Amino acid sequence: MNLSDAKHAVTPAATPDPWDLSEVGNAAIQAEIARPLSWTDLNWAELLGSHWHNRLVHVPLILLAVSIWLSWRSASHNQAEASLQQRLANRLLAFAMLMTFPTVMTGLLQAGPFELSAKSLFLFWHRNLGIFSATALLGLVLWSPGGRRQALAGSLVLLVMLLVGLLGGVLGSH
Amino acid sequence: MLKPLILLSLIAGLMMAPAVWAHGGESHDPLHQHRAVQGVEVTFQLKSRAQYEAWLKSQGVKASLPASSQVLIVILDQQARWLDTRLKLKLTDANGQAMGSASGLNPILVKHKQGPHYAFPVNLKSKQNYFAMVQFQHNGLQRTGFAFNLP
Repeated sequence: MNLSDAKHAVTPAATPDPWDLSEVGNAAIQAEIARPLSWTDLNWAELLGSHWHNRLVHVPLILLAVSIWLSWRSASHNQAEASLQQRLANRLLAFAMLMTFPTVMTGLLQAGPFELSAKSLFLFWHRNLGIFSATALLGLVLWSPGGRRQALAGSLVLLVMLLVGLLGGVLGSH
Repeated sequence: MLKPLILLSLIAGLMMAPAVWAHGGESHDPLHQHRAVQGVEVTFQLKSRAQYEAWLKSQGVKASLPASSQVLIVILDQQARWLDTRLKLKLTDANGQAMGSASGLNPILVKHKQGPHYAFPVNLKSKQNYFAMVQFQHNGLQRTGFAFNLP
């Protein structure tokens, strides 16, 4: 190779540093902001495999609410219909109580990150009032006075559960 | 018949109150944003020096405070775990003028059990629009953008 060849030799282009953001301008940032979420952006393992407490917690609440409604209604109907409604109300109440077990268990599993955080006070009340309301629900299932007494007692438990939910909302928010 | 229905409606309405109360304010905070990128939740927050100091204290994190009026915080969360990666941020004003280094800002890494995060010391002016591009490594290089207005 003579000198003239060397003059025309192609030097390999420097590989651009992917971490260099000097060319990134507002248009590129705005395009990134406007980019719609794709399926791969979602964390499916987390969506499907975690935060089950947040989902399960609604089941006993709804079952209890419907059970209260049926118990209340059963007091103002003829005996045959009232008995049917009360039986249904009791079954829903029992199912609501059973569903508090997985709800409490998944809640305890999710509690870890909050134990040492600034929200530990709310965790304390959320956890203990939650366990208390689940125990109260068990008491109501065992007592089962039926009719409006059961509806009123169930409403009290439901109110405590709503307070528990309120505290859970404080934990869930940033 | 009517009374129980009203009672049930009231109860159902009350049930929604915690969710509305807990999440209502968050979505309106322009200085606290979230984006999902390839399964990673990117949290982007601007705090004043005093807010940052209080936040560090609340998290039980012992980190030195930067000599700046504000701190931009980036948290990468993947499956409830902090994603520890190289991270770079490009911050521009409304005219596209880069703030700090033109090629991007490197963070102060705060690795801590309670509050791992990336902190970028910044001195931003109020009543201005800013744009930020966050770049990190997770299954290749990933980017996400944020826009905010400093009140």
